[in-house]
Amino acid sequence: MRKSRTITVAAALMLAALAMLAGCSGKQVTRVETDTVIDLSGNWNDTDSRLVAEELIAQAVARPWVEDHLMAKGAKPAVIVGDVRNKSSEHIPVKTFVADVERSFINSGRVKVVASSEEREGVREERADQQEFSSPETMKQWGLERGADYMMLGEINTINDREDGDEVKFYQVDVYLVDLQDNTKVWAGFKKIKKYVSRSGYRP
Amino acid sequence: MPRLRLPILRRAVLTGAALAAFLALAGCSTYVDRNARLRDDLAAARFDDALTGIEKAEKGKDRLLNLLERALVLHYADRWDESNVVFEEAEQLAADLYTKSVSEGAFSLLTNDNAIAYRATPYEMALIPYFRALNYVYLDERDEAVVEARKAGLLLRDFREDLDEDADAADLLDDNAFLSFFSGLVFEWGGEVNDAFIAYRTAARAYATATAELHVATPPGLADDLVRTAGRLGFKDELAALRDELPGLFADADPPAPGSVEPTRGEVVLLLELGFVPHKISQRIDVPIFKDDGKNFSDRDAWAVALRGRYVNGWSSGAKIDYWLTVALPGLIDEPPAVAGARVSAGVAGAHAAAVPVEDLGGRTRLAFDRGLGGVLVKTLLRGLAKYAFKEKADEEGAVAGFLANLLGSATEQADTRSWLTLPYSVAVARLSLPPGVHDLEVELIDAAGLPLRRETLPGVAVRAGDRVFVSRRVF
Repeated sequence: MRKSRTITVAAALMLAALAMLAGCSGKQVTRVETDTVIDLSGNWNDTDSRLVAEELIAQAVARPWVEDHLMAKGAKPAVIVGDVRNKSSEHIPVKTFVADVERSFINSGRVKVVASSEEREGVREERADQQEFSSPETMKQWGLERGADYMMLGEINTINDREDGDEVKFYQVDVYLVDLQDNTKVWAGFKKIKKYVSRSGYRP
Repeated sequence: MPRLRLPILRRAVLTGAALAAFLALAGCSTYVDRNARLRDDLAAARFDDALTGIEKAEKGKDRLLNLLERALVLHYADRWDESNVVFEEAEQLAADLYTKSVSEGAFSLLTNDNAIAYRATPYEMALIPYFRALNYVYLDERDEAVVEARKAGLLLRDFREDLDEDADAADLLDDNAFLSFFSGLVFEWGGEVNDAFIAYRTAARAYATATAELHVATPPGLADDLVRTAGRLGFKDELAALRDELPGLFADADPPAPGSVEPTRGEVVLLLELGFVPHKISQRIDVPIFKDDGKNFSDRDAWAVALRGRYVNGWSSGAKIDYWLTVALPGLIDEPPAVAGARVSAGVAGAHAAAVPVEDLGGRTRLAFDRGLGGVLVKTLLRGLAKYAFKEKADEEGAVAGFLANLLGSATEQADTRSWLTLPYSVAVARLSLPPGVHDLEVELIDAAGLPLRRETLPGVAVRAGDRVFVSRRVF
């Protein structure tokens, strides 16, 4: 009896010591579909970017300015996506959001999307290269670029509220289209996202 | 057979326990011990060695500290993108650490506080947006630097709310005047004038009410910053109210000048980060348990408080001592840096300015340590009593079990010495208005008495008209 109790005490001591030395945890990586919604921190993520872009552009292309432009010019409006300023308290990858917006515009089939100034520089380099090395039949001409009719501008704002382990994150994305000829705003839209992040006080 | 197997098993378990206790003893080096070379490596700009050392010293419960040390070393190594990635991970982990582990807490009562995952102090967390904003400044990403300034505001708001009921802790944070001031500078640099005014105003109030125990002065030019931003926003009433509230601040301020001030000149903000923040050590203390105390393990809280009184106030020499309770208590090594400030000049441009202390991290650390020591002492004594009770129980099982319990208790007795070791002791700021162009800044480092220590040159500081340039330097 005494021996077995000694063993018990010693085993408890050993377990305690080993437990103290423990603390390493393994890492596991699992592949998931790119459209799977995974919220880890509650911060702005790829799903937010894509959903907001799709909804805003669905709103935009359903408004009368597209028809008005078609009637007046007889062609689809050409849009360039300009600055979307991050005025939030998170580091939001704005370039990803702009890419999502451009893709939604293009896929709507209702407007043409003009490349950004950065992209145009690359295209012009290629065109310059063509002047020297391409055949006359395939060489593209200077001075025939499509100028945008409208520029989309916008900003992302956040409001955060927190109480103990509970946090509410409110995102508002405001975008508008400006007529590049006369600076009038032809459309304005917004999209709001509200997230509730809850952290429990204790775990086992 | 059974008669033979039991002693073998018993011996094996006892040997295992002894080995585990030995391993525990071997693994019980403190955080400071494990990072013994870190500060020397950083001071000597051996960044790769510092990073390797941090990686080697990592233990699971110190993950947050490990990330913070790594991010800061990367910052000083001019690897700003990588620094930001690691800081981001640290912030996420800090948020997740809101959830406390019950088993960790229980286990710490049997071993030591190092069994609990490290949570950064508010004044440590407040330095993250400062360093991250500087990373973005050096990457010339103004919008991202401004995001850090916004995060700083949220961080301070959350801390204020958390600390509302803890006056001592709130007093220590005191709205972190420096972080507010620095945020104001970044906001204005990023074109967010309204946010800049609010941050400057928060900073002005915080500096005015900062505890005298912190060695900080109102930053140079703060009143001018308020006048300038209020002028651009048309905030006449707000500025007038602030003048009434803080008349001393505006005594030397320039008259209001709406619009961009001095569009033909630029400003250099020089941030000197001085020395190393105080760090903790583990020191063993012995507190007597008297024969008269009895062994009332059922009310350990009261017993621990009584023992604290015995440790702090001493005891009667006539008392008969039954047992010496040996516990490990953290001590603070507070070594202010020799460099206390600087005189800065811009050579041929003729401008000169003094760098004044605007953040006293050493003081905050010292105050927090002193104020928390009473609670730490009680918790340490409680742990000591738990181990004592465990040993007493093991003694009943035999001398070997008692010996092992004592060995394990002793081996695991370690003070929590964890803190962000690579942080500076203090920050001093100098501001110079300079004509556009490239300037070499001459920095004369001075001691607390104002005596010159050495001179350093910061070459090639490019100043643009109507713009602000941030230059930060760590000085050891």
